[in-house]
Amino acid sequence: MTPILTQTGALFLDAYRDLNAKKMFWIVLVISCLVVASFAVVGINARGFTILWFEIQSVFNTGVIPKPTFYKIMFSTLGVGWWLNWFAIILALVSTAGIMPDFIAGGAVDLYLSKPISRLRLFLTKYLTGLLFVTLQVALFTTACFFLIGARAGSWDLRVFLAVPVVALVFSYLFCVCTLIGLLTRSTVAALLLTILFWLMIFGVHSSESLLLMSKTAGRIETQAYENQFSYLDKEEAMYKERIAQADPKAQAQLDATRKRRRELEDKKKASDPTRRNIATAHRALYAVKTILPKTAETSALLARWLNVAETAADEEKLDERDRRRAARNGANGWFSGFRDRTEVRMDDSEVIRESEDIINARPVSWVMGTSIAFEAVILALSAWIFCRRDY
Amino acid sequence: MPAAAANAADSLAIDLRDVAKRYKGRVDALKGIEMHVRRGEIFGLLGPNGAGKSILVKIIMTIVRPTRCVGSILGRPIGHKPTLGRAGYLPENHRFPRYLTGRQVIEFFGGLANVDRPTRKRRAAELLELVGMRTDADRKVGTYSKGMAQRIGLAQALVNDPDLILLDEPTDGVDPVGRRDIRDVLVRLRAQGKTVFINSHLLSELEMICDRVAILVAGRVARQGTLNDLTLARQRYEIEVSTNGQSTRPLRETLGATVQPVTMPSPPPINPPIPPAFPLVGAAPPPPPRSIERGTLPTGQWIEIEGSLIRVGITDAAAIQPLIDRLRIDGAIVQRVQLVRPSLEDLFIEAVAADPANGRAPKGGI
Repeated sequence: MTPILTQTGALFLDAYRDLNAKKMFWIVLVISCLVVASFAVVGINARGFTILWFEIQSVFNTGVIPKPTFYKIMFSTLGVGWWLNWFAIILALVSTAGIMPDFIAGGAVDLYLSKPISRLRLFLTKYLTGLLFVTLQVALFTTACFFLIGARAGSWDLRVFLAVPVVALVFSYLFCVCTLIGLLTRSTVAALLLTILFWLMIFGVHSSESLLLMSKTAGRIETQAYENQFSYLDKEEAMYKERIAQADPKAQAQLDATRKRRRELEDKKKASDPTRRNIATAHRALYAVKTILPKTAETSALLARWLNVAETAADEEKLDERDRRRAARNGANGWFSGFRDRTEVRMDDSEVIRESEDIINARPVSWVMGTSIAFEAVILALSAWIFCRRDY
Repeated sequence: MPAAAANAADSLAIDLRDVAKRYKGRVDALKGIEMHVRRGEIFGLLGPNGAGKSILVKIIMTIVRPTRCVGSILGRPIGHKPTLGRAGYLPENHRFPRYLTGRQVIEFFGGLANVDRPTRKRRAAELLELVGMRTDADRKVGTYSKGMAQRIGLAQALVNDPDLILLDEPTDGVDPVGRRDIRDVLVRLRAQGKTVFINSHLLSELEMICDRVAILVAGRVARQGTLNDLTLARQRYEIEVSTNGQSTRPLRETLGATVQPVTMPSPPPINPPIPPAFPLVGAAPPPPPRSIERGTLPTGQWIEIEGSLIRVGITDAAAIQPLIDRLRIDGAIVQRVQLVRPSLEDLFIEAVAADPANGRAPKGGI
C-alpha cells in the first residue's frame, strides 16, 4: 500500500472510531430509522392516503400523484428536505464542531505534525473525515428509503442515492465555515454557534432574495399590464378618432374619457415606477451577495429536480391555470383577467409564485453548485493556509 | 561539502548549526542554537523553564516553523517530512484520542508514520510488552493514569522502529519503577544503535543514562559536551577541618591564600515548608546570608573558604598534600578530604546563574 493510502486509511479509521464513540451518531441513526418507519406506514391509493390500516379520503390520490412519485416526494421533501437538511445537519454540526479545535489542541496536533505527512494533506484529509458523519448517516437513510420505495411503490430508482452527495455537499458548505472558525478560535462552542449563525444568515439572504424576486416578478407583470392597457387604450383612441371623422356625436366624449383614463393610468404607473425600480435594484444587490455565498436550500432542491418530483407539481399548475382561465371567462376576476391587465399584483399571486419558481428552477446547476463549491474552496484554502502557517 | 565534513555530518543524528525563533513582539525564543547529537548516543537537553527546549524539539519535528534554520536530522535538512518517518516523537503533555485503546493508539500513529498494517499490528504487540502495558492494552486511553499514558506514548514513538527518538519529558508522571523501566528501554535502544534525544527536568535521570548533554539558557546553548568533559574542569577537593584544633590563625593565613570576603544568599531549603493557610504574625525571618572568602592560592588555583570547609580547584591528589601538611602543622584537625565531582545539577545551576539575564555572577568556585 502506498504511504498516502496508509496514512489516509489510518485517519479515516480513526474518524470512524471517533464516530462510533459518539452517542450523537447513534441518536441520529435511531431517529433516521424512526423517520423511515414513519414513511413505511404512510401510503396512497385511489381514494386518498392510508396510515397503517386507516384510510383518509382525499383529492390527493393515485389519480393525481402516482405511488412512486408520492414516496419520492416524501423522501426528497420530508426525509431529505427536512430531516437530513435541517435536523440531522444541526446534530451533525454539534457532533463535528469539535473536530478542528480538538485536532489543533496542544499535545494532540504535535503527534500528527511530527509524522511524515505534509500539513496540507493532513489538514485536507482531516477535513474530509469530518464529512464522514453526514455521509454515513445519509447513506444508511437513503439505502433504507431506496428499499422502502421499491417495496411499497415498485420503483427501484437508483437516483435516490443522489441524496448522499447532495446532502454531504450541503453539510460541507457549513462544515468549511465551522472548520475555519474552529481554527481561528480553537473553541468548539464558538465554532458551532457562529456556524449556525452563518447558516441563519444564508437562510435570511435566501429568503429575502426569494421575496424580492417575487416582488420583482409582480412588478414585471404590473409593467406588462400597463403596457397592455396602454396598447388597448391606444387602439380605443384610434377607434374613437375614426368615429369622430365619421361624425359620430358620442365619439368625442368617449375619446375624452379614454384619454383621461390613459392619463390616470400613466400617473399611476409613474407613481409606482420608483418602487419597482428600487425592488429590482435591491434584488440585483442581494442576488450578487447570494452568488458569493453557498446555496444550501437550492443545492438541496436539486435533488427534487433530479428525481422529477416537479412533474407532478407542473401537472397541478396546469390544472390551476385551466381553472383560472375558466374563471376569467365567467367574469369572476374582471374584464381584463387572463390578459395580464392587473396593475396591482400581490406577491402571493399564484402566477407570481409560479414564475418566480420557474426563474429559480431555471438557475443552472453550475451556478448553484459551482458558486457554492467556489465559496467552500476559498474558505478551505484560507483555513489550510492558516493551519500550514501556524506554530503549535 | 568536503569528504571529511560529509563524514562528520553523516555521523550526526541531529546537526544544528544556526537555529533561531522569534515570535511576534520581537520575543527571541531561540537565539542561534548550535548543537550536535551523534548517532547511537543518548543526548540530554536541559534548561530552566522558558529556555526554549520544547520549541527546539518542536522545530526539529516541524511543529514550529523556525525564523532561521541551518541544520539537519539524519542527514536531511530540517523540515524534510519523509525523514520524519525515521524519527519517533513523544511530546510533553500529549493528548491521545480518548476513544482509542492503548493498542489502537500505537497502531493509529504507526499508520500515520507509514507503517503497513501487518507490521504495525506486530510492532504494537511487541511494544506493549516492552513498555509493560500488555494487560491494559485494550482499555480506552481515557481510563489510563498519567504514567500509563506515558508508557503508551513511548510505545507509539517507537512503532516505526525509528533511528532517532525525541522524548519531551518522558518520565513526567511516571512512578520510580516506571522511570527505571523507561531508562532501561532507552539504554536498550542505544545498544541497538538508536539515537535518543531527551528533554527533561529530571537531572538525576539524565545523569544516569546520558552520554552527552546540552544546557539551554535563555535561548542559547550555555554548555554542551559529555558529562566527563563538562565536569572535569569543575572538579575540586574539599577539605573539612575541625574548629576544635589548636590553630589560632585563620585558615587563609595558614594556606597563604589571597582572598576577599563574598556574601552569598542562603541556599533554598530542600523541602520548602507548605505555606500556612493563615500566615502567622511574626513568622520566622529568612536564614542569614552565607559568608564566604574567595580568592587564589600562591600556586594560582582558586580557593573558597566557608567556615571550616575549604574548597580548592585542584584535581590531583599529589597537589593537595602540601595544603593538608600546612593545616596539620598549624594544628588543625583534618576531618575529611574528598575529591568532589560536580553533579549535573551543579552544572545546570551554574549555567543558569551565569546567564546575564538572571542578573547573577557565576560562582567562581564550582
